[in-house]
Amino acid sequence: MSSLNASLATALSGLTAEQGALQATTNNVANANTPGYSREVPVFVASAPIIVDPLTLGSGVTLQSIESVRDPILESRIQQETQTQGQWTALASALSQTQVNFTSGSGDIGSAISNFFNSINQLSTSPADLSLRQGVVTAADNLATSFNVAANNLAEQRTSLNGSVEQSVEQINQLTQQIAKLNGQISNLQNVGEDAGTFLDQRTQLIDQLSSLVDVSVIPTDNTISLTTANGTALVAGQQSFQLSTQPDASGVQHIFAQGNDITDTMVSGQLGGLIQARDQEIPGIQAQLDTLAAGLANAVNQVQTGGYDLNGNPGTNLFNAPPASGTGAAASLSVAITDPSLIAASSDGTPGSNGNAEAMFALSTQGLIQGQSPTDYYSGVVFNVGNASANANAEQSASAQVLQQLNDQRSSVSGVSLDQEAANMMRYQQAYSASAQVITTINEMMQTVINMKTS
Amino acid sequence: MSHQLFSNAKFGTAEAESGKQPPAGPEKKADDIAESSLNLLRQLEASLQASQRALLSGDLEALQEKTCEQLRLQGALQACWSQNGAGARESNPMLAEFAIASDLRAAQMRVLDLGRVQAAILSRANRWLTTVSNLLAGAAAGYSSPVKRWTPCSPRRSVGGSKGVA
Amino acid sequence: MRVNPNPLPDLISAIQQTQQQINTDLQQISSGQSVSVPSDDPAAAAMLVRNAGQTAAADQYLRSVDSVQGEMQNADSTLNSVVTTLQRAISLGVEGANGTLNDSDRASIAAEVQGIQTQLVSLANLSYQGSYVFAGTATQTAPYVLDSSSPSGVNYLGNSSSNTITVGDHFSLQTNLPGSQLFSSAGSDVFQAVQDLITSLQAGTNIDSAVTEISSAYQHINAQRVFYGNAMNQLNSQQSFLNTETTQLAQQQDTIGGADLTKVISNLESAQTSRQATLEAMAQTQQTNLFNYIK
Repeated sequence: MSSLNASLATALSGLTAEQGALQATTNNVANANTPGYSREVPVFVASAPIIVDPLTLGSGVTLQSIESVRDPILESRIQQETQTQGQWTALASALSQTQVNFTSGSGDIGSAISNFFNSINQLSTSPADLSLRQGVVTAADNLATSFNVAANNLAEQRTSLNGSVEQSVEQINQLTQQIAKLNGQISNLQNVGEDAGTFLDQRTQLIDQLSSLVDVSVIPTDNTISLTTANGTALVAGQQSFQLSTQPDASGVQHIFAQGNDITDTMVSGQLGGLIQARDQEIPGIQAQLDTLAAGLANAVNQVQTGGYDLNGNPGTNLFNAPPASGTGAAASLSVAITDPSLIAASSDGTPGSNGNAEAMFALSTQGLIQGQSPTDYYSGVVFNVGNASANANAEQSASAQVLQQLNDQRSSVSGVSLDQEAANMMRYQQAYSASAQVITTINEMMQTVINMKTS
Repeated sequence: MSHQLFSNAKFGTAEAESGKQPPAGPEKKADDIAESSLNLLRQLEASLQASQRALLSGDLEALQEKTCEQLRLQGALQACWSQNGAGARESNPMLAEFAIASDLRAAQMRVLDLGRVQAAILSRANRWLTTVSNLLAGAAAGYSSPVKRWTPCSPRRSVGGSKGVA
Repeated sequence: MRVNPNPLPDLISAIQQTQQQINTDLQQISSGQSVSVPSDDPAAAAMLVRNAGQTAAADQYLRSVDSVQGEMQNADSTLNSVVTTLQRAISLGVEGANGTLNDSDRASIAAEVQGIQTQLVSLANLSYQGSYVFAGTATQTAPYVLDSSSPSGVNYLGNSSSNTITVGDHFSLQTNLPGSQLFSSAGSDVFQAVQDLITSLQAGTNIDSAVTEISSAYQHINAQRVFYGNAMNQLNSQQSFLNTETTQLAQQQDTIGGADLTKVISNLESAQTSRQATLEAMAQTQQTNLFNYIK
């Protein structure tokens, strides 16, 4: 290595450490107001390698030789960003559908919780009144229904995503078959010294399409190319394509198999990665929060109910059917166990005119029932989480689109930053990015703080 | 739920009667704060849009300049909102009955959104930069202590108006 | 330098962006609200949920205050009647103590006081919206019945419990006074006093001390009425407070999530104009092959 390269190497090695710091900062920007989110401490992580003919990672390259790798690197970047765009597009689309369940409206969970507790407060004013008691039963029914509907919609969305996963795998298989075939045609032409330009262009197109679906690395091998996923699953090797298959597990969730191995968890990028993330992480995460809320609420209400007396002077029985012990499925199965209004246990001493237990039940509305939060506050946190995840996905999708547009402009014309310019100014670029990220974080936190400022 | 078709009654009155002595007291101060806030938020919005373009096109000078500008605007906004004590109802333009309250809200949302997109583009740009560093450093890439941070927009640059900063 | 020969993707994305803006604006107009999905402004969406919860609670508290005020007003005006009735009993007692009356006169007065006794039982059995107000929490049974075998002439069938009602965040107050405290309290038993007056008028002796007993029962009732006076004052203040709170919450909601419709409409118009312009530009481009202009 030249002395220029050696000194660069020393200085640049620190950049690898900085990478983690910047990623942590941008994560903090995205999650500034997430309840319970603890700010990330930067950790040192390695970045994803790019393998570009004629280089393999680790061999080093001089500033002088950068010129020769500029174009293939640009192609590689376009593919990478296409994968990222595919991933975020799938996720943004899924989350925008999910969040429809959490917009405020007459049937939403938030209003149903309020209406339920309000009906209990009204009962407190006249605990023997049968029509007020019926009001509580009706409000409890509506509350259960609001949970059922949301849980059902989330389950249906998972099913739909499941179908999309299958379709994506089919598309991937078609593309890898076509690419393998093109590899053969390209080899044939090149072997006899003829120009394979048209086929090469077609192949690039197909690889771009494939990149939007799944994370693809292009590896030059012998006189042809291989395609693998980032973690090494083979997709194409020269003229041979390796088909992926889907198999449902016990609960019907489609898993992805390559040569008999379950690779579902390794699919993190591209449209397939986005669909799997939505299906297996985002939506189940929200389902779990709804289950926690439903179970916590039902159990607390039941506990007060069974500690009091009904209109007939008998000890109270459960108002809601007991949720599953693990909590899973509580929202989908939430239902009311009482139809006779006289069974509401408003009394704390067995007399028909006592409202002590109704008061205790109403007091639940402001108690820290669910992870230290009141039911309404916890629900507002769920709304925030869904909205924030959706907003982040939208921003990432938008960022990908813009970066991709920029890269495509570079590919079409000779505009934008050149690789040697980036390499020569690396320190300045990194410092500028870091400074910008810090300012963005501060601004973001400031905007959120104002939103949360309450009236005196 | 009602919506307000803001007739700008309060705001318009202040404008129509410019030249007369405006009412003193918390109301007038809150109006000032709201107006200044909106002004600053709109500048912030424009600055973020410019830094986004700079980031995408790799214009280093512009990116650094806009970062300094955003830092200054953020500080001005903070100072503006700290008048009358942070959290006081009069000084929180979000929660008072201002005709421009919805404009403020909209401007704030746009700044938030631009911030998210900028953060997303920044993280992509930095990932790419690290890849370039790996290419260059090759086998010599290691994990040593972080490079000393450069503090942008040092005081002597911003005093008296720095070059190029809007 | 080469010009970008593929302007279409840029134009298409420009159209999509303006179309998105149009769709967002249309949604805002139809809902009258700018936070129509949480992702528009997640923190505001969360705040709106909490605001809605607080608003609903405040509205409910106002309803409860109203219900309790109704019952208390009834209770208090009934106690007013009790007081008036006791004043009549005192007059009758004073008249009966006059040494110039004969047995027959005193018997007539005693009969009228017996009428008062019945009237007091009726008043003490006040019922409001299906529940007996002075029965403690045994509200489904009339608390007082006449019983000639009882020393006080009545039996109390209620209990001594009271309810409280929450009418504000962590703010509750007692809603009732049981009969055991109001009418049958040891040492100030209204019914005992009335029974004693009847007995003394019939016997012609100790009328003065019976009148004194009724006076002290009368004072006891007046003192107890303070409870209702205080409670209704508290309810009135709470009502004012809640009205202010609901107004503030409504303002907060409007500020967080309200849309300035005139602005939205003008955005919509400019978005539609810009989309039109973009479509026209695209139409023109398709007719032109830019490569014609590249040297």
